[in-house]
Amino acid sequence: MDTIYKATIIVVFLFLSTYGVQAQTTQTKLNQIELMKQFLGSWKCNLSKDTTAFWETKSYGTGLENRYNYVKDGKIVDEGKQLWGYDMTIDKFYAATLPKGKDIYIDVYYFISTNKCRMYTLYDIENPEKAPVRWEIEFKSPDMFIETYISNNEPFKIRTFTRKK
Amino acid sequence: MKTICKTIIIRVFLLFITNGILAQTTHTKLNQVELMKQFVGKWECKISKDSTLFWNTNSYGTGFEVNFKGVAKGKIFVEGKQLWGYDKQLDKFIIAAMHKGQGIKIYSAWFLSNKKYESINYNDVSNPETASWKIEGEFKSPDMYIETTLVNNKTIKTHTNTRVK
Repeated sequence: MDTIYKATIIVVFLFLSTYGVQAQTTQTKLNQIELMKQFLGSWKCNLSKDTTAFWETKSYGTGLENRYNYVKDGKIVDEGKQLWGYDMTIDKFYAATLPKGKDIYIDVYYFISTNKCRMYTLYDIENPEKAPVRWEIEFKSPDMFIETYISNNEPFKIRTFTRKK
Repeated sequence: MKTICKTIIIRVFLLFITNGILAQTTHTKLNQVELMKQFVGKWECKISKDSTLFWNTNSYGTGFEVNFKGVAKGKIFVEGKQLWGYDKQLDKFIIAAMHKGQGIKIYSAWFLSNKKYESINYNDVSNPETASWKIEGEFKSPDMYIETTLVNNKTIKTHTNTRVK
């Protein structure tokens, strides 16, 4: 009888522990589709004294479509289109970028917290921690985010985007 | 003197052979960007008695942007956007395909000859011969191409696409 009692206590304890772990995992899983919506809208970033980057991001289904251009002295010097779409198998976004007149490239985007997004190229998907370059975006407010490029764990380029109103 | 003469003859012979091989390689390399332009325009594809897929492909730099929709009995049952861009490292096109309300898929596509092309999942691009899913296509005329979908080398479906004028 004593053995049955002990066994019952252990089973109940294990059940409660498992339930607790599952609940914790569910709570911490980020909704990547919702968080990406922070990028919606029109953005601008002063790249240098005379060059400004403009982003226009719109919703498309569960993804986003983006048009960007770089303007220097009033002239467009670079432009392109992007499609950002969710892939549930990796719980991350793929962002396809087609710069006009240049090769296409694919990046992987995912939020690591509600206001921080990490990125690396598709070439580095097997070993993202060994990516020669990765970048992080942090939303400082709904109207401003900072993009930091990182190589060998050292930031080497920082850009600030502000919402155009 | 005889040895020097033989050496010169051998070297000249090797030079001609090398030149010949190089010339042959240059002749046979396909211009993927030019060949892909065969897709530019509006296309339709009857997928069943009452369902039709419509494609609209526009040039964008060296790539393409594509809008598609499936219509059955006057109602849209699927729609999406694609970006196609050349990747010179692969000498192939990368296709980012987003179905509205669903996720994004990444494919690779390339011409095998002036009229025949293949497409596979991007994950299989390093070993295309082992790809379980594949599309084989052929332009029968500038206004018609046929696509066959294969799974494990077995034909699953064949569709005919015709240009909308």
